[in-house]
Amino acid sequence: MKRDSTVRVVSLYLLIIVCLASTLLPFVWMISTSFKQDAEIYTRTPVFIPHAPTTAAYRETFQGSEFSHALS
Amino acid sequence: MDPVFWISLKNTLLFSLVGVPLNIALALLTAVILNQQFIRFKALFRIGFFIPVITTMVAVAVVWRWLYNPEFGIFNYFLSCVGLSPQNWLSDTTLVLPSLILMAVWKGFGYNMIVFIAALQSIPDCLYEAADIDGAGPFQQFVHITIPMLRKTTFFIVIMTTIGYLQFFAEPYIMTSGGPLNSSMSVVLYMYNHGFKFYNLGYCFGYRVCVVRDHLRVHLAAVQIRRENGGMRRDET
Repeated sequence: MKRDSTVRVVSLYLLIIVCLASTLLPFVWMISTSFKQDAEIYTRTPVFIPHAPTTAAYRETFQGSEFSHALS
Repeated sequence: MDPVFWISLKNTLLFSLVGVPLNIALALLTAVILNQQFIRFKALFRIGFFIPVITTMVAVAVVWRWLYNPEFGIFNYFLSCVGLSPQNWLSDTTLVLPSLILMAVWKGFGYNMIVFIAALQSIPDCLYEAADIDGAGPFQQFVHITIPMLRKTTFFIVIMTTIGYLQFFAEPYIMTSGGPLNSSMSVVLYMYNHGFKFYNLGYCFGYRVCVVRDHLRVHLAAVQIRRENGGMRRDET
């Protein structure tokens, strides 16, 4: 087999990584938003890593909401 | 005649005609790249591209509605980063269908990518070796070996993806409920509205019969084209 040229390897790697990043972006955003406080959710410049992460949303979800009824 | 019916038909056809080729092109591109020998962590990439497929449509639609949010959405932030004005993704009559197509392609191409990877792996290496010896470049090898060898798989994928895209329902139901001004109304959603919102059950069922008949017609036509091109020859298998 012929050796692949460096330019080709790098460009294909870049392309596939950009594809992967844009595919995973909604999930990253979803997970990061789940740990945010309300003030950080409603900002015009998006915050990717919450400054003060909180698990309030998860606690609310699993304690006494309809979701916990649906699970059991 | 009911004008909304024709709008919904136009939207569904447009959604399929644009969405299916985009979906397949993206799937083929990622599959071919992931099939290269030098790519490491192939499993990681495959999982990454497959995650949207296994996620529920409802959850995806809720997250994407947030991404498309005109005020706090991340897409408008990206637009502002490159100096473009923010858009009303889901409340603009011209932009709402492309937005839904983008989301549907994002959600669906991973499945086709997996099918394409399986098909690519079954192409014998000796064909590429022979082409190498004959001096064919990567592009020529792709056009003259990869694409012809993928013909059966492509046929399967086109049919399955078209079926899926003609069932265009969950996206507008959750994200726009057919709005604005019916510009994202789909055939199935319109039928659902008639059956379960307005309780026009007769209309709904008559409509359903027409839709099923038309879908059958499309797929029979596809199979027919395939047969006429000699795709079902025995000696190929």
